[in-house]
Amino acid sequence: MTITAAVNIKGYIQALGAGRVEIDSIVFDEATAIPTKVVLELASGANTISCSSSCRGVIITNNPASTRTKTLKGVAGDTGIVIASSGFGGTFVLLLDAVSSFVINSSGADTGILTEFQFF
Amino acid sequence: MATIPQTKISLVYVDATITDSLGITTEITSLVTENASAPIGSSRIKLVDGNNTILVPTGSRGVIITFNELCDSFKILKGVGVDIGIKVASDFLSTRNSGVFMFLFGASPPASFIINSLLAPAGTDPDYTEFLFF
Repeated sequence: MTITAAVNIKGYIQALGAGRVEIDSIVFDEATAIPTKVVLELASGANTISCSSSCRGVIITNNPASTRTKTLKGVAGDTGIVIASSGFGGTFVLLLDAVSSFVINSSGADTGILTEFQFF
Repeated sequence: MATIPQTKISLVYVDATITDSLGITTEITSLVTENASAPIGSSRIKLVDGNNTILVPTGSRGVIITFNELCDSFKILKGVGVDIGIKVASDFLSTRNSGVFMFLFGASPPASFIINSLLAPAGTDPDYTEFLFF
């Protein structure tokens, strides 16, 4: 079978000057990576996420039920970008180019709450 | 004709279909990220060599970033300039130079983030990179 990954970002922004703007991104097709799904209970501090070989990106889902603040980093020493906080989780798509790993720093252990990484 | 005010809101979600070599398909239709304080901000920037500071509008819940096919440079996503960051795009010699992706912010969006662009020779990307905040 042929490996395929079609990833699309959809939605809308309403109340712009021109009314509603629909979001329907180009479908991002990639067929080189072995799709891998990783589900983790994040520990307190830096969690190193190993990327699947040749992957082009990852769909990350932070459970909104988590009360932890999570920061996306290249390595543990980075300042990074806060991508989730208490009640503010959600799913997003990150592109990766020849990245072997990245870091999600969690402000505390996410006991019983899972974070999902779908590589493509 | 009277105009009916629209409620200010943004709704964004991810829709994906991923099939592995065994033919097993994973369908993802994510939960919707909703923001009633949608900042309504977009910008198109020709990235220059080095750190490009991208200002985040107040109230943003996330950003969709599009690298166009004519973008030449390697690109690294960072929180601040000195970060190692995460490489998100290759140069024009690779098919991995373009694409669209997004990430979310927490309850309080940062004032800015960085896209580091590496051009050889140094200069300005020939095409725009688009940032749509929602």
